[in-house]
Amino acid sequence: MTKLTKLARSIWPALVLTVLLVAASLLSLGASGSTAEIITEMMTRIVMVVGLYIFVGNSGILSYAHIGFAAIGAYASAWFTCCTLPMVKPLYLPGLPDFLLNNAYPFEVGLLSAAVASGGVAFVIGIIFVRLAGIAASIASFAFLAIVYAVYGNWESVTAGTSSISNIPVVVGPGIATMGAVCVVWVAFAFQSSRYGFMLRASRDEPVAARSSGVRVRHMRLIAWVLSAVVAGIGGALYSSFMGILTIDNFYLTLTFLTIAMLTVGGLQSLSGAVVGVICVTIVTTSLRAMESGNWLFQLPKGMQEIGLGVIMILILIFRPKGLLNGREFTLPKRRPPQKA
Amino acid sequence: MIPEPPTRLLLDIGDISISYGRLTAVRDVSLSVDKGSVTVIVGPNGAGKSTILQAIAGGIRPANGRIEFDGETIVGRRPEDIAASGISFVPEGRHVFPTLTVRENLLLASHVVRDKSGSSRDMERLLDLFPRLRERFSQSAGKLSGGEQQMLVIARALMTRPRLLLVDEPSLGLAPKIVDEVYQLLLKLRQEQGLTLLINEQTSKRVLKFADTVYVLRDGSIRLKGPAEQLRVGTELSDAYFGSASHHESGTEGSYI
Amino acid sequence: MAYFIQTLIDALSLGSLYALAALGIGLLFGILRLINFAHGDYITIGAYSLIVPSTAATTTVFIGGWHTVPLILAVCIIVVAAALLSDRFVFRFLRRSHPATLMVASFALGYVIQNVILAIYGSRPKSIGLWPQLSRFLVIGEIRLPILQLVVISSTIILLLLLTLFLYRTRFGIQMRAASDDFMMARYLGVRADFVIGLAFAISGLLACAVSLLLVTQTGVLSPTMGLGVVLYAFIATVIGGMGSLTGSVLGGVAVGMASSFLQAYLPPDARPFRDAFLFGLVVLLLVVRPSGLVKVKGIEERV
Repeated sequence: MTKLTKLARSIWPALVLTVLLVAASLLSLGASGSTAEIITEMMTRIVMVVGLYIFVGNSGILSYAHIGFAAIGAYASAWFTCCTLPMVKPLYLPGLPDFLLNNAYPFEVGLLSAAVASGGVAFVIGIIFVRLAGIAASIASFAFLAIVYAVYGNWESVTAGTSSISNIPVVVGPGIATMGAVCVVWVAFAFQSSRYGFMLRASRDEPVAARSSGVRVRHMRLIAWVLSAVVAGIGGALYSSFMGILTIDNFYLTLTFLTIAMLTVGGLQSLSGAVVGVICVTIVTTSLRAMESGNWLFQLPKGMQEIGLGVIMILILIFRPKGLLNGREFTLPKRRPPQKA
Repeated sequence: MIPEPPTRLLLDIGDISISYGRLTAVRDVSLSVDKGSVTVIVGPNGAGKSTILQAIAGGIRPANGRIEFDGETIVGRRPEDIAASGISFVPEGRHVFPTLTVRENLLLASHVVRDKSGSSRDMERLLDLFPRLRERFSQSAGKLSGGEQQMLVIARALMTRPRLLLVDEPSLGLAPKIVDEVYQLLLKLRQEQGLTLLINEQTSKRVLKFADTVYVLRDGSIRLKGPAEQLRVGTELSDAYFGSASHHESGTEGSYI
Repeated sequence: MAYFIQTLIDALSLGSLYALAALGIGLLFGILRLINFAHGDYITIGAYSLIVPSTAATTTVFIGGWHTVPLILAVCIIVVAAALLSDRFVFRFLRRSHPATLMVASFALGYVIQNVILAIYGSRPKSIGLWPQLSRFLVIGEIRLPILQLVVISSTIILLLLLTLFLYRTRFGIQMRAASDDFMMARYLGVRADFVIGLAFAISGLLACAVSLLLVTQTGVLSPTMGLGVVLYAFIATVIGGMGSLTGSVLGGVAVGMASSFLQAYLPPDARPFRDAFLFGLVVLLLVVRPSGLVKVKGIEERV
């Protein structure tokens, strides 16, 4: 094998995914506005799901918390980048400190603040969280999601409570969203190919051995946890500067279900699975939505989109529990050595 | 018409192979157990002994091969159905129901028999045989000592009125004196009720004393099989157990598989 | 003093509701290692069965207008059917699956049920008056106790007694407890797996039915996510009490109800909205300090 082939083989999954994502984004060129929106939304979801995957896929622990981190990132970004009408900010969010109230910062700052906020929170609670394993950890992550929802839903001076923050400058379109998706795919790939990723996956597959090397596992988990939270937070920031409007209700059970569904459909254990899962689910839900509005083959009753997604998820769990890609990444087909006669 | 002689074969296993994923635990194993006999499978840890018993009891399905109990195929049947047919399994590790009392543990097993008065008599008899269980009758099974728990799981298995009793490593983790008690008891039941026994053990000496037939299992295959008295002398047993003999002739009459 | 007693009864009443819900969840976890996220949706199904299916804003009462006994029977049958069907069509195929897969499947199932209800009944909350005769008060001196709360508490006590009798005095109850301790071993002793599991779902459904009727009477409102509200706290209760322990679920439910009520009553008004955050925070703390819960029965870790 030449050096080039060797290199290609080692980064093949990330390459394939990049090509896939860029191709998908090209669909939005020259297409209607709604197609561009669908693509952008899909890309932000890819970021969130890849964030989820970084933790779930490598550690083997299912987390319900990551939309909570996306919320933290989304609101942090909004605090910095809002609003298109400057005088509105002090009215909406009187609790914010002055340097935020009187300024609207560019998107990059929002992105950074999202990463720092979600990463910071993840680090603090992570120190406690990584001591838990299995179901206990999953339940604790669910509690975390509920805490974020409860806190953000009531902290009116800073989050507008259960109503929305609007007038967030919309700067994220298909281009930026795709760049974001491609970046996080490489980040996730780098992590899982690194020593930390390997060790974490080893602990996932061999829990007994993992338990006897206790401290190291916790260390790895914390890294994955914080990294995944940062990525999820960035997803939240992209979302907030794409939608232009933010409500805490959008970051609770429905989105949590959606992201977990996407990951499950594609396969919890591979990065390719995570991305493919999002793309497939987006295709399915978009088609179902089109059928609901009667523009397509036939008219479906309202609500079929969600029901359809739930049913598909159950079917996948029964028939192909490792997801569509069966837990594998995209790989370069191996060339067989010539058969001996 | 000449009536067929009654079959002596109670359990007949033919060429079963069992895998866990890609790991083959048992390979082409054949085994037969006569009615009223005591058959023992010996072998080191990981040889596949537990897997065989689990397959008979219905907990694992062999990839191929046949298992027949009293002439009927039991492969693929549910564990609870196999229990109702007359096979009782005592897995290793003393699986008492810890939150149930001794009484409830025994009572549970009687449900498959559906003979309430008969079962109460059975329970009385078993409590006579295992006086320590009578003492602890109303205590949670989780609080019993290791030896008491072992007696409980055997008594419990007997409450189902089995024709074939499968016991996986009864001596594991028990003091030698208790192990002897347990074996005496099993022998007594064999004599009184014609109970057929299939037992797994790691240690061979004690077991050879009262076994009729011995199978040696190593790495998933049977290495040696024969009547116990003949294998008591000579070295084939330990050779087969520890692996220095593969397939070579010997003066005694054990048969090599 | 009067305020304290009223809060106490309020707390016990809420705790009873959570205890019943937690019991429904704990029962299934003990036998199947299933954390049934759809349990809240069974509660919602029970509540919505009281009205005629329609998305209109006004409610036409259906079963809700029947006499007490047929009403209770009908709702119970419907909810138990929902529970049994969810086993038949979803969980039965996942018998040997990892608990995490089961959890995600129940999550998906709950999502489906919720959206089916949404599609049939619309998303607008509907009002319904069930058993208005229970809205009166029992007045003792300075203390005003809502009759409804006393009914909730006493119904719960009765149901718990019945369940205990069932589990400890009947043959099927013993089988269920054995299956909960060691499912495979129970099967080796002749306990029929499908039967015991079906029984668990049925009882879980009965408990959900009780919660739904009591909840509707209490709040007078139907909404597609109403079950979720209760079940979120019920999960906490199960975790606090120790997953797999029924006594723990009950104690946990009472503890959560009492904590919630007392926090609500005695927290300063500014902090009240954050009551939930406190509660969930306590859960996480508890999980770290004592992962097996208050009532230490069996660990949820797999044994090596």
